[in-house]
Amino acid sequence: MGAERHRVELSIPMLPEMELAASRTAEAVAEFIKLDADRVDETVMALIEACLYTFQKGKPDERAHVCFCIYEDRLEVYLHTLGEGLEPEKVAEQAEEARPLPPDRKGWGLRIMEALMDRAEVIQLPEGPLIRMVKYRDG
Amino acid sequence: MPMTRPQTPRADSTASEDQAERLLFSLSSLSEIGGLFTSETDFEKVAEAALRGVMGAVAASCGALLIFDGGCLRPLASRGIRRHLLPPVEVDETLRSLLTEAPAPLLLGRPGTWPGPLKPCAGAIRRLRACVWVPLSVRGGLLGVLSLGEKFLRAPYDTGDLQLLWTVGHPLSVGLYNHRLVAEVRGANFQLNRRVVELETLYDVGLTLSASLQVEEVIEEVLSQAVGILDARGGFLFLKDEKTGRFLLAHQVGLRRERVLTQPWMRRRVERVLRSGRPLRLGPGDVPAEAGIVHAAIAPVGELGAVGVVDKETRKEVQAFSEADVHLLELMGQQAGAALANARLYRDILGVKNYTQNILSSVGNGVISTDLRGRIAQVNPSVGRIFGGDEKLLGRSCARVFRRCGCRGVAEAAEASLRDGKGRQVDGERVKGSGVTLNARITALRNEGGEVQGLVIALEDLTEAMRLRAMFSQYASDQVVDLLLNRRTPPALGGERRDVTVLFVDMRGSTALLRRIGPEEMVALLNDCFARLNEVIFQHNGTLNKYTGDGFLVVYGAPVAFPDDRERAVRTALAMRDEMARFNRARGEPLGLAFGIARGKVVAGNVGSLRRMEYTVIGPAVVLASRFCDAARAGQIWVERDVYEELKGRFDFAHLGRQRFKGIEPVDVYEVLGPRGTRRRAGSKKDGRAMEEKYKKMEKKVDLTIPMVPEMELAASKTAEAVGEFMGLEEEKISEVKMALIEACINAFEHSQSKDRRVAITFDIGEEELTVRITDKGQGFDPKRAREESVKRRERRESRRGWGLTIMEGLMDEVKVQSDENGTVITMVKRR
Repeated sequence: MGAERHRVELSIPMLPEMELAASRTAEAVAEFIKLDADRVDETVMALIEACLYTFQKGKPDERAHVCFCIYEDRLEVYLHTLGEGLEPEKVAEQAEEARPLPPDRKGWGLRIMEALMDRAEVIQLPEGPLIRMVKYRDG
Repeated sequence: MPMTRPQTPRADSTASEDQAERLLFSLSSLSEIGGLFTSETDFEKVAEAALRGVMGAVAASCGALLIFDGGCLRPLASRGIRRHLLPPVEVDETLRSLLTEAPAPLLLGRPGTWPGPLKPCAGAIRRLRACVWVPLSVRGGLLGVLSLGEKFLRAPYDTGDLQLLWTVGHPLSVGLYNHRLVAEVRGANFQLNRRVVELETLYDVGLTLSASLQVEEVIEEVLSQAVGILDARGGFLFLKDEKTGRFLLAHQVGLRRERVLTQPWMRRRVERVLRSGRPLRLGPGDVPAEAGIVHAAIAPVGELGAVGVVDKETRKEVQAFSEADVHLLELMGQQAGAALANARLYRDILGVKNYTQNILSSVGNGVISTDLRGRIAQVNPSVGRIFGGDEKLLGRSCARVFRRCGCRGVAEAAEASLRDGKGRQVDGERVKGSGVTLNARITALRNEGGEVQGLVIALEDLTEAMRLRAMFSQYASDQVVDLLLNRRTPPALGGERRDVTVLFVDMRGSTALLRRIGPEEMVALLNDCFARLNEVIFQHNGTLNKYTGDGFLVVYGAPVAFPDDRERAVRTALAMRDEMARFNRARGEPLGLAFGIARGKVVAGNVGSLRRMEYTVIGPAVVLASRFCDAARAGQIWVERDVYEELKGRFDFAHLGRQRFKGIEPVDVYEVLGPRGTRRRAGSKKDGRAMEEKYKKMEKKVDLTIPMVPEMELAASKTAEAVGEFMGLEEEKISEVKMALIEACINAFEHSQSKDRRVAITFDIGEEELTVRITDKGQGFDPKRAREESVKRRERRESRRGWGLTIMEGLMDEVKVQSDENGTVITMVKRR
């Protein structure tokens, strides 16, 4: 697994086209960890899908929080509306066994995320959904 | 000599130093090429590296690796030759035999000495500047050709070179063969995965479509699924009108309706698709340039219409739809056709049922139908009232029911009619419990062969309440009529002054439509439309006072008043607007509604002559609502101040100013935009303004925290770029913000000595400026001293760095620095 090396956090209002801000940050982070061009594109597209999913599910006055956790071998991206200061990877670990989204409730957005990333899941928490996506440096 | 076969050295021959060196070089080249095929996964990279290795081994100045694909040799890799100048080389059977059976590399001297099959390739050989062709084949199958140009220093290719090339050619062929196999397996795997996704998608689409039996919902769902799944910029759905057979635009997404309707090519293509029953893929040559569409795909929706998608969009460009996309669209069209046919069938059945029910319900008299054994099969609401309660009647013997309530005459007549099939009339029977006096008319129901199948019993209620109900049920919902009749004081039919809310509704676009479709179809269309809209009025307990051509007058507050009359009037208008949109989507007609709502005192009562009386309202509020309705555009709901004041906490309004109307003093006019806090109706400029107002109130702030790691400033820079584009800053200004931010980040990375090694950046998006705050928790610095230091360094030309603040100030409109031992905050402002 390896320890987390760096972390980039982004918080955006849930406004139309704000997902593009998240996508640019994702692009820079993916390039920083030297993903190849295709994998950078895939990560960016998956994050746009994730943002649109979150914008759709969230309340208009909430903010979307994106956390990019950079590991030696992979990039983990978390997206949620659960507020600032949260450590999403811990929340995800605790909630993992509890209530991942059942396969029959997966929409097209999640399927796209799954297809583009090495791992993608929506963890349903009582406060709202938490999206976790993983992209390995070497596919 | 066109061809030279490498000679096997004799066993007793001795190798010169040059030959030994070449042998070693050959071995090392072979090893490198072998290594390439195991370490590199990208086919083109392998080819390029192999070509580089071989060229190095024989000191060739240029070369290309051509791969045999689809009957042609195509350049896969090249060095010293521009690949785009190399067209595919056609390989006929003779050339193919020559290349697969060649015992050695082909040394290409003067064209006159070439073997015959090579002569048609003269142009390609010249462009390749080829001196040697090394055929690459495995098991008699041609894989490609390694083409090498002149050697450096114009040295000739000697036997040793050819021997080396022949030796190297074999592993190169095997490597290419293996890579081709792997590529084919990958391709097959990709196709398989794609097929799985396709099937999953179709399954999802099937589930979604089968979940709805509403025609409008199915239409919307089909199109949104097609557009979403195929990444299209937009789409359209044409359906054949059930009555006229004309193609009507049922729905469109991402395209302007008028634009679709005014493009005859689209309708022609749709007709062609439906005639042929096969999908169609259109490219730039097939679509008129002025259409604003580059690519399109159209597939039939069963036999009912066709669905089309336009311009497949990726992040960077618009693409053509692939064969697989078109196939998927075709499958979705088939599913949609079945779903739509089901929905239409359901709608028709429901329509017939409602029609019958409406007729029965609208009849003030009670109607009972029975089966052959006299068991009650159907009753209308009036029967319940006549029998005075909710007694369950269905399935019970009608004769027994009539006997129980004291109508012995009716019971006996019904039994007799079942026996002999003759009609009977029974008058003046009194119903126990409800006290209703009734006349009953019994008629036998017969099948096509004249056999008795059951009875229809019409019960005429002779009471005063019944007469009132018969009159008011034309105007108001059953609920309102019930309330009216249950009051102690009956309604004053002669006229009374009442406070009412008046809603005027007028249809827009009907005149043009009438010209287009003719009066018969127009009447049918209006009846269908009005039936839907009347339902909305009755759901909100409005009194439908009269039809005004292609509009209505609806009253709230007469004959029965509710405390929320104003709100119900507004909600009716909003619901009617939505219903009209659904109707338009289902019928493909561009009809709109305009609304005017006013509140005031009116005289309500029966107006007219003895021959024809009508319950109506008269007063200034009626006139004002009518004027509003005339002035409003399609989709607009205009109200006066009284309504606005009462409802401003529950709905969003736009003030349209004080306006003058014919015969009325100037009044303040307000437009209803929607329930409070919901999204505004699209299309109106005023709505746009209201949306902007709301948008302004939202906090538009982006927070980014990055670690202090070299190159991480680029994440900040890219985010700044996106934020700048979001707020519509000029490109040049965005570049300046990015540069200033990079400078600020690098300064923090290098000089802050922050313990947490993190920089927080906040982008505040204002109306007129972008404010960027860069915060670190470092040791802080004295800005004044930093500036002096940088000036000194500049004078001494010591260092290029250290001018951060000066650069930021040059790039931004405003820069402020707050720094102490707890950290530094740099605030930079860029104005529009």
